[in-house]
Amino acid sequence: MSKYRGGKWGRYGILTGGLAIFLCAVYFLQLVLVPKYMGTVIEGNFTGEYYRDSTRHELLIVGNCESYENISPMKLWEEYGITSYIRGNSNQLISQSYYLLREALRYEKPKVVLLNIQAMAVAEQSSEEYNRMVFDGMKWSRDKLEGILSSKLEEESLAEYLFPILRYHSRWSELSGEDLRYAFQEKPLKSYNGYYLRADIRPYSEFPTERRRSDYTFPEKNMRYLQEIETLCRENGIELVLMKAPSLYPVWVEPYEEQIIEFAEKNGIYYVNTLLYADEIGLDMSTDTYDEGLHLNVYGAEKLSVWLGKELKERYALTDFRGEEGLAWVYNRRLEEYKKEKAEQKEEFEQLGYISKYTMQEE
Amino acid sequence: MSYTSYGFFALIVAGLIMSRMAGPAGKKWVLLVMSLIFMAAAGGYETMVFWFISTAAGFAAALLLAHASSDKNIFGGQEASVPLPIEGKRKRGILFVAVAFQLGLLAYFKYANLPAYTLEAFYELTGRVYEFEEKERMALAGISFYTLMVIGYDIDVYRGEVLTVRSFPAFSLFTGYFGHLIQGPIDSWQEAGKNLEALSPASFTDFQDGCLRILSGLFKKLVISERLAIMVDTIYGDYASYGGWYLMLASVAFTLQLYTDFCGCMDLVLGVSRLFGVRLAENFRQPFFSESVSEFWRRWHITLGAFLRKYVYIPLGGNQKGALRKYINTIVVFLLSGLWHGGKWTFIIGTGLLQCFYMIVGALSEPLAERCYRLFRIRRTAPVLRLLRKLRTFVLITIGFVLFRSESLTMAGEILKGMFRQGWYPEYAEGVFYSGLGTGDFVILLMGLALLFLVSLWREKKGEQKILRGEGLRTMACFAILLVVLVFGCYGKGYDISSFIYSRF
Repeated sequence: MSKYRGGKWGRYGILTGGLAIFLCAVYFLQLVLVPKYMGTVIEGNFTGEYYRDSTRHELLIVGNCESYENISPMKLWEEYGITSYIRGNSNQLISQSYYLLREALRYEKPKVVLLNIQAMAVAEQSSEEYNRMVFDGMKWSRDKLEGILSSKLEEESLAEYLFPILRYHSRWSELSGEDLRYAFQEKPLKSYNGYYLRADIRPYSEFPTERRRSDYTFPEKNMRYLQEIETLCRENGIELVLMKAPSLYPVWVEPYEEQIIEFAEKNGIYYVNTLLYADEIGLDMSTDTYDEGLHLNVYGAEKLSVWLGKELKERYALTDFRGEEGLAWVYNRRLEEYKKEKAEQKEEFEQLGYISKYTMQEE
Repeated sequence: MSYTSYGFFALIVAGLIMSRMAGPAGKKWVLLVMSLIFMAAAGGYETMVFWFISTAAGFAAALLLAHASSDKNIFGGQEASVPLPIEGKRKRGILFVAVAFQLGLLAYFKYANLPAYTLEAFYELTGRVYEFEEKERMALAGISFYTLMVIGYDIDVYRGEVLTVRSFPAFSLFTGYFGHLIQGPIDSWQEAGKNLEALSPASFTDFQDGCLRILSGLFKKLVISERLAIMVDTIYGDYASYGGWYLMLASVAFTLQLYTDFCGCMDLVLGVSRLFGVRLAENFRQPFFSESVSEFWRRWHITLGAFLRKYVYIPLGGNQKGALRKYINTIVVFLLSGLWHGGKWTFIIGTGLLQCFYMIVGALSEPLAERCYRLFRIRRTAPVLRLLRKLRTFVLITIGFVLFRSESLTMAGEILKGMFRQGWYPEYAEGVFYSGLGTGDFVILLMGLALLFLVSLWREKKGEQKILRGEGLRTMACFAILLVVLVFGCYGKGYDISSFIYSRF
């Protein structure tokens, strides 16, 4: 061993001190470098915002964009006093829904879980960014670890989830003021209990023809996770509802419908395909969608929420919490913000024909 | 698995823990297992099979050489105090078969396309195109390195310079050691083999120096080389659309890229080896401070040069048999050096024949240069002259590396010609100097190169003397460099990190 003037303890002291400084520097740099999703893409905030909601929910909605863009928890509250939250992300896989649900059940026990089943047709994640938006905001737990391992792409590495600086270090050259500000300051909420508010209108138009497939059987992995979700709900005494949102694209083909009906009947689960109730709901795809029929805008989402809320309330006797002072204060305050945002977006859309914060500006 | 993958670092951490638990006796087994895991992950089972065949053949040949010797007391892996006399025809025969077998392996996997490449080069020179279908051969990791190490060992046993190793695992560790596999160094048994056999425990200083060396390698590869690669790939990838000094810039960038890539890899393996108490041979000694091409090749890829000098140049007579023989020997050595890099004529000329052409012209013109110095009363060691000689060497080497980087002789010719036309660039080109590199990255690159230059200057003047002497300072430097590499390194998503360039050879 080489001689060191400071002695053995001095050596270890410097090592420990250096390591501590290094880890602090990495921690702070990581805070700065991770994306804040405050620009045109805000969906990366949704997973993390769940932890900031201090209330308990009787209805928990899970699924991909068809859940967080088509159902408005604020409308459910306003109309029926239903407390609800959406744990949904872009392209959220069924396996990811399972882990997000399992994690949520550690915080609360809802009466009803509504799962949007469009993702049953999605075999695997199409791009790393979607996985990141699901998991980056999730608190570390066994659920997160297993969730990552179940859905990470081949080119992704667990190390990059454990230490996000390994993934986002290259952002150093594109940092904005928001990256610095929100590294050390809480971000404003971007969703309304997980709902993505859009008040612009782009009427339904024809979608490209989808290529016919020889086999429409759901991937075995998705069926396995759907069964896991059913088991999880059953074991926790939660009513599971399966729903197909009224999005027109990707096309929900008959073989998909048959498989879901078969699963629902076998497990005694209520399944509702809202595409079949579009007229009853009052959906008008010339005004109720912001992206030509892929997703509903706030007007369409509110119509669906009014219809769905009635259905769920009658079927599962969901409580009207509007009379509960503390809860009502929290929800009504958020409802005010929701209405304000909706009005602002409406006004901007009427003036400009688009919503500027969701539109890429050409330089 | 590559040296810059997370998997490799996980393997190292696991290996360090295991070797600590295994103690001095078990450490070499830990290293052997680690090496086999790395080999399987880096090259697949085919690599393992051919490495095993090569190693077993080399090991068996040495045993046969030992048995063929009149002096039976040649086991033990110790250096002979007195070189044993070279035995007769039988030993020569064994050695011939052993060397031919290793060269055959190398030739089968590396030179299957050499005849076609030769025809292609000939056609190119006559302005025609020769079309052919390349023969597919398995890409075996490390074959260019371990075959030469085995050959060197067998020749040393034949010459009686080393005693035959009796332990196959020890010999396997020498040829298959993970630090040798991807880019060398081409070590000798006298140096690395014995070191791997009798492993000394790593001290805190070893650990600290190892970490600094690893980080220095990562800095060279991830902060500098990968950024230079963006410039080089952008300009060389569309070389016909660039002209003048943009092509010169890309050529200089490639010379620096090759250096930081290869030297970075060496720093990494030498550093990792140091963590285990293993010392491998150095492969670089500030090559860009060379004042002549011959000096450059003594400072660049030192172990390949040393191998060719010891086993080819000197047996051919070296410089002891007159000027003509010396030049012929030099041509043979550089032809082999070029061939070793690959079966393409861009390699054979770029790193081989062109280099010995420089050296022969340099040697022939030396009396004239000497006369000029005397005539004009110029001091040969004047700082300005030394600087000019270094610049001249850099330019000459860069021209050779243009060939090395080019996919064909035609491409190399076009690039070299293009340097002397007007400086133009394609309209769609982006980045600083239209090189594809953003401003921020360019600034980081310049700072990295400046730091590299300062450190190299220190090494050139002070040798192995440490830049940071205080242990505490060195510890803090480790963390600081790690932080810089973590943030400014080109790795992971968003960067298409290339493998080490020399791992292809």
